[in-house]
Amino acid sequence: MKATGFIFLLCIVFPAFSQQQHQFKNISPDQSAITFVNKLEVNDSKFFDYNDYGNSSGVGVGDFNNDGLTDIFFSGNRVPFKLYLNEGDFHFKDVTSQAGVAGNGNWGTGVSIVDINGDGLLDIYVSHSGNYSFADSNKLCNELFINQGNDAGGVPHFKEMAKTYGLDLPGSQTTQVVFFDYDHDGDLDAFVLNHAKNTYIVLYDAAYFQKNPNKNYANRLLRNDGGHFTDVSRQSGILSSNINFGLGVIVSDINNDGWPDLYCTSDFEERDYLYINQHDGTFKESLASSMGHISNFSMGVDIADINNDGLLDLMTVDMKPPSNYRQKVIATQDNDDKFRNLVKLGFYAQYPRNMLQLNQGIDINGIPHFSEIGQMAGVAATDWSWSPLFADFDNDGWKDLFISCGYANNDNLDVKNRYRTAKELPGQSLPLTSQFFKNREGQGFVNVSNQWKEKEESLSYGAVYADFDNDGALDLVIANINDVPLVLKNTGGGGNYLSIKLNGTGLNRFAIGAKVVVQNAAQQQVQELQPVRGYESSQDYILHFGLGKQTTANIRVTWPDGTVSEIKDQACNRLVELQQVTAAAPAPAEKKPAALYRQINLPEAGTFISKQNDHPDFKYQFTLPYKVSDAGQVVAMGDINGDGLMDYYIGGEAGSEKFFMLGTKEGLFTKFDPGCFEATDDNMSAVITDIDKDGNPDLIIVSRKGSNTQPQVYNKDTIYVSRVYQNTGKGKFLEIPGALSGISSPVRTIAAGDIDKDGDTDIFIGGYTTPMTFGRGGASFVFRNDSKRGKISFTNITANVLPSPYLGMVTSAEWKDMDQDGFPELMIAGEWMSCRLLKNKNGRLSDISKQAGLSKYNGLWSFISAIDVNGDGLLDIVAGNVGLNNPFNADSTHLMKLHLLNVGNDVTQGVPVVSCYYNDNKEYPVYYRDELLAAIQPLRKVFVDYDLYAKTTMPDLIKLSAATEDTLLTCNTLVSGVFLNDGHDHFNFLPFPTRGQESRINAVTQTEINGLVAGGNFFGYRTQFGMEDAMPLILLKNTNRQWEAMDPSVTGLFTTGQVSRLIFYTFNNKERILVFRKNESPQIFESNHP
Amino acid sequence: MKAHKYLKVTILNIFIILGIIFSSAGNSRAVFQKEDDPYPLFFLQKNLTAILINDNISPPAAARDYVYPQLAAYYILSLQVSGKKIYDSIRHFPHIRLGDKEVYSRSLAAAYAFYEVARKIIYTEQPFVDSFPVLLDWYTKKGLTPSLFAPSKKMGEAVAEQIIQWMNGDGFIETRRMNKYVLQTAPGKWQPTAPGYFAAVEPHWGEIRPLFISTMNGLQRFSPKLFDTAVQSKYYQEAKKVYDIASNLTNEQKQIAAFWDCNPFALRTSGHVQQFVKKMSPGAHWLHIAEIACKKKQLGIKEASRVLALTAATIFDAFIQTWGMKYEFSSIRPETFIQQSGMDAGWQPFIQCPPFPEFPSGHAVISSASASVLTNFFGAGFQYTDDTETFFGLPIRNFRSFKEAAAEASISRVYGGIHYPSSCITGERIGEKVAYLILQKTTLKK
Repeated sequence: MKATGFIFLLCIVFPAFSQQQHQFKNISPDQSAITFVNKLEVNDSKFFDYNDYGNSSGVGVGDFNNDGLTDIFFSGNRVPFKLYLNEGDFHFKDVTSQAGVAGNGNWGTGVSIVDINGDGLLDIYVSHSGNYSFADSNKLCNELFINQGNDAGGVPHFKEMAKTYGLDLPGSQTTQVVFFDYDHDGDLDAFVLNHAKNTYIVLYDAAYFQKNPNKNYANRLLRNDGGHFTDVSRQSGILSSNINFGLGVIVSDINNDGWPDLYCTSDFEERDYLYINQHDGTFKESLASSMGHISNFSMGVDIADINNDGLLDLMTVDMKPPSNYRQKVIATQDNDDKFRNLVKLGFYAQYPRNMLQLNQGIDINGIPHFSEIGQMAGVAATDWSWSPLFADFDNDGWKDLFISCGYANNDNLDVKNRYRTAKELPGQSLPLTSQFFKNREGQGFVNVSNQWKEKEESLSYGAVYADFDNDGALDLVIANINDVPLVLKNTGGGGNYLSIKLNGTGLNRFAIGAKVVVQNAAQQQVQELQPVRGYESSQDYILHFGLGKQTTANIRVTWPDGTVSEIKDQACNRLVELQQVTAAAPAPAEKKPAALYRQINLPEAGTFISKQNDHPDFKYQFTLPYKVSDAGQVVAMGDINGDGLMDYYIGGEAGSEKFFMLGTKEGLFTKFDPGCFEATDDNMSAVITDIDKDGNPDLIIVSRKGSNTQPQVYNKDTIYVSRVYQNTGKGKFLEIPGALSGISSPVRTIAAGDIDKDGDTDIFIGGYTTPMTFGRGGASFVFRNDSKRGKISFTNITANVLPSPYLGMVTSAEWKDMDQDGFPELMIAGEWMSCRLLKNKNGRLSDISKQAGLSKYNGLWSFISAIDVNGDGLLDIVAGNVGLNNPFNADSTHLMKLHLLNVGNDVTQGVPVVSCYYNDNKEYPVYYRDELLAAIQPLRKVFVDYDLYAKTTMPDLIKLSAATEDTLLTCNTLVSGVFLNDGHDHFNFLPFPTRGQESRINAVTQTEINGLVAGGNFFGYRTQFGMEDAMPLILLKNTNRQWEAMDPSVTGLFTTGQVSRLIFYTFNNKERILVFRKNESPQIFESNHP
Repeated sequence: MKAHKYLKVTILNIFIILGIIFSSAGNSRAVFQKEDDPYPLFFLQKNLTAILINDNISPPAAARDYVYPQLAAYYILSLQVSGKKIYDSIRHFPHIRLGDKEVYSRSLAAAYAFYEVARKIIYTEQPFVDSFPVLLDWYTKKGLTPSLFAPSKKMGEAVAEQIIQWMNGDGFIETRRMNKYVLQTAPGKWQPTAPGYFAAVEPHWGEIRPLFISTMNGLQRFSPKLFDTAVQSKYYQEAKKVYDIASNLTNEQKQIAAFWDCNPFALRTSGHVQQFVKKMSPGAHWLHIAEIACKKKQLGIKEASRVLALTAATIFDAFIQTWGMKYEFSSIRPETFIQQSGMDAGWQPFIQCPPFPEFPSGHAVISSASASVLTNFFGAGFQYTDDTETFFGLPIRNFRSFKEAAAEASISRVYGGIHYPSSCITGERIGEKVAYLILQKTTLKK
């Protein structure tokens, strides 16, 4: 269950495949005799009349005639369906008419291959939708072809019997049906994925659309009652929405409790659903508890264990293009208001890109928690995508990824913007290349499309993988619009394999829902037998496991009824059959070791939410990459009442409450408001320290002046204040006016330390920025503590001790004696700069960042702290950064840049423009055209269409706009990590492992026993970038320069939201971690192992 | 080499021959017959409209794009006309320096002035630039003496340059960097509308420098109906009225709503497919009505220019006043209220709601202001046929007067379901007031 401790590699090694020898060989229709074509007229008006138009149809495979070869069935929209029998060696025979499966000629969609009557013969279920009126609902009938067995020539014959089973569902707009035994009664029930006929454009409370659902549009659950199916959607908790647009469905025991759960996608505004099986015939929709955000235009879906940790991961595909050009010709602007409105209305956070949801573990309530890591894993953008399929295509034991791509309509904005009336629209399709991604041993994926197959553009939708020629490698068949299917023969990745066939019992003869674990010295792999995967398609019933160099493996099958079959040391490279009839009762479940930590339930008094508002930063500085007005949850720790228990101060925004929480003997906290805090202060940072050395720790707060009316905008007129509160020791805090004066510019952080070794605490205050001055950090300050005999007083000594007050956009700072000379050094983290180390020599600071080895790592540093991470007695520098799970793509040779541009007149000065190396090693501005044009008005005359803008690199943009570059800041490091102290004022950067790069790190604390705990996340990015929410609390342990990362499945440290601060302390000799989050109540975790 | 030389010679010969033909043609006609033909103004206005539609220019910004080119042309054409000039009433109108006294064509100089100012103001220049030689060709064909081309161009450009400088000081550039509209959460405040949910456009247009009306003098008394969610309230009942009318439109009402839609950028979306449906903005529609009137009255270029310039100026000022009010009140659109009050949660108006606050109806203001100014010139009973929307596939409509057309434009917003009747009626009052204030300062008749 532990994620292996890989040191993160900055460069990706491409597998070496020569151009000539593609792993997948294209089998021509001449050879295969597969000539099926889903013919479709490509015309805008068709799409307008019917929104499912152009969503094509599916493929299903199975051995229909039981000859040991996998056969293929295609459904079609307007054309007859086709059944091809496999005759071996990639030759197929069209037996459609003998078999009687051409279909009723109406609009066929998804294919599900299932033995519905338990006779050992595979039947074919074809879903139907189409642009028919309600009067024509007989044309909207799904079809079930029951296999009657082979004729003398070995050709199976079928009889259409949907109505007999109650599965014809007249009137329903069905995308796909999946069969599974949700109630564990031994027969197969059905989940029907439907879609609305046309999309709804009025945004209203999501719940409104569920009030009077149209059952033909809403998804349905049908229970198998002795061969007839009964609609049990309502009583089983299946949500029904009139704007449901189901495009993908998958069954999986995603929380490992032995009961099948469901995930279904929905295109457009309606969100996806995650249904967790409650074991009593009902489901609980729990998407919001499990995922931080999802795909917006979700299409196909697959679930598989991509990192072989025994937890099932999930992928939905969407339509974000990988190329800068396509991204810029299809989008006008970021509509942040719309995004927020949709979230508010209950549609959840949805972004238009592929989502890879990595399973972090299942909490004690049986809820799985996912981190969305698609961008970091390199699979977020594959343009219009339909069928994601995880399978081990190169037999190395790691599941690779295939995605089918293309669309029958082109979304280029220039085409749409031509001067014309609505009627004159050309029909244009968008052929694309389907994509292959090789699994980098659980550490993400690398795109191998061009290495694995010939480049070929098509309109590809439903797809299936199966070993058609029984050579031990998975082949692919991909259905296209207006073209023959792509038949790809896999010439093998070279590794060993095992094919596994499961023979079930009773009415589930093909053992749908069985779980297979294949394990050997190299790895443990898990697969579930659920043929419906990807898009509108049904995969083979034979499971395929690559073994790499290993020659044997243990096989363990858990059958749908919970019984178990096992084979030890099975030799490789063959088909293995297992029988449910000989299965044994499962061994009593091993008691799972308790997680390292458990969350303490806080009583009412200990839970509070210090509400923080959204600042409209982007409305003022249009091109900000992220908001800069949010300070996160401001906290300061200390024992203010001298009872030996830790207390803390909770800061707040203007208009929100600010107070202390006092530690109690029970190990909890109780609220205490001394009544002295300013309502209109907007706290930026606070620190508790005994300024006057009277034994009663005092409080310092830096704030902006705000008002009680929100939202508030902070600009050059904003007033900054610092307040010093003297602790009288009697529950009273007296403000000492003017104690820290002269702070006139944006500040963000305070650090207390004894700079001059005179025994009292001095203060560093780090300068930050406002939206309008982004890129130009405000001044930082150092104040010497000159308090005497209980009289608090500070002297501004910035000019004497700092090399320059302008240190950059400082986010975090700490004083620690790194060189053990008794004088604390000052460490600073900040954005668009390197971490900085100011060495303290007898009270004077000098910047040694360069010789210390820090200055070459420019990042968006968000956190800094000195911790001895490897126990060598030297303090190392732990530094939080934005991580790799974002679209920025920066490294030492591909800089992310922040240009401050002056264009034309006095008005357009210092506009921050961020550019990245998005693709082809070319630097492009990150913004969509209309946004940049709004920020730099003179560009409106230059970029008169989307095409030119999409082609323009950043250097060309500067030339074309005749801009002068005021300032250029760069960023070459996105990873978080540790600068390891070598004891000679020099540090070596050791990035955290992959698991520590899933999001921005805002806080790290060191526990006594287990290592570092890191937390983070940041939601303040442009909508285009999405929010970074993938970071649970990760436990990191460093031994011999190797990291071991433990996720919540082991640690029990489940959290959500934006972690601002982590505090480690002990209570009753037990380790505790206090977690502060923005806009959420704090959490306390206690160690289970004292 | 030889061939090259030969070619050069031949081309030179052709020029010489052409020159002879032209000059002789010029000589034979001696006088340019079309100096008073308003065609060049109509030609330029039409081509400008095409660019503004292509560039999806919002209604207030489009008003600005018309007024400065029209004023530049008018300035030149007014030079030897006696009486009060429109610009005499514009306090901040620059003192134009005309340079050397040369013989030139006033018509062509005006065309050049329009062209140069318009080029500066529009975004997509190329098609506009490409269309100009067609007009020059017209001058040539109609016999303008070749030697007049250069001085006319020089004159037009000189005026254009000074108009552009003046134009650049109107606050437009500054408003480009002002903040975007920050959504207000209070009840009754504007929310983005389906299907695009676009941000509110031009929230600072009220800060643009007007031509005549320097303050909201006399306009402050206009305010929207008090927001109220109670079913018995006047507000709710008025929303109900919009709902009832716009949900049960007659064919005639539908035609009226579509005819006066004038939305420069409607988004048609269904599933994954989007289309942009474009029409002329309200200001453009009225300027083309003014053109129709000029043609019907067979006005010469000087008079036509005065009509177009004052109409454009009125529309420009009316938009500034309207936009100031729109963002002062930030009123919710009826469709949002109808959806959120539970009257009909899925309701959509007949025409698409443009992205800015409701009160007052901009179209009502602009239409009544334009109609007042045109009535002042052409008279109360001026009948005309409006065929401006045929390009967008809409039929022609006949009107007995400008006021009748303006009243129809106003009520069309209720039929369309995008305005409350009271906001249209108030809009008409505001438009009349704006026109009154302008006409007080500058009478249209000579």
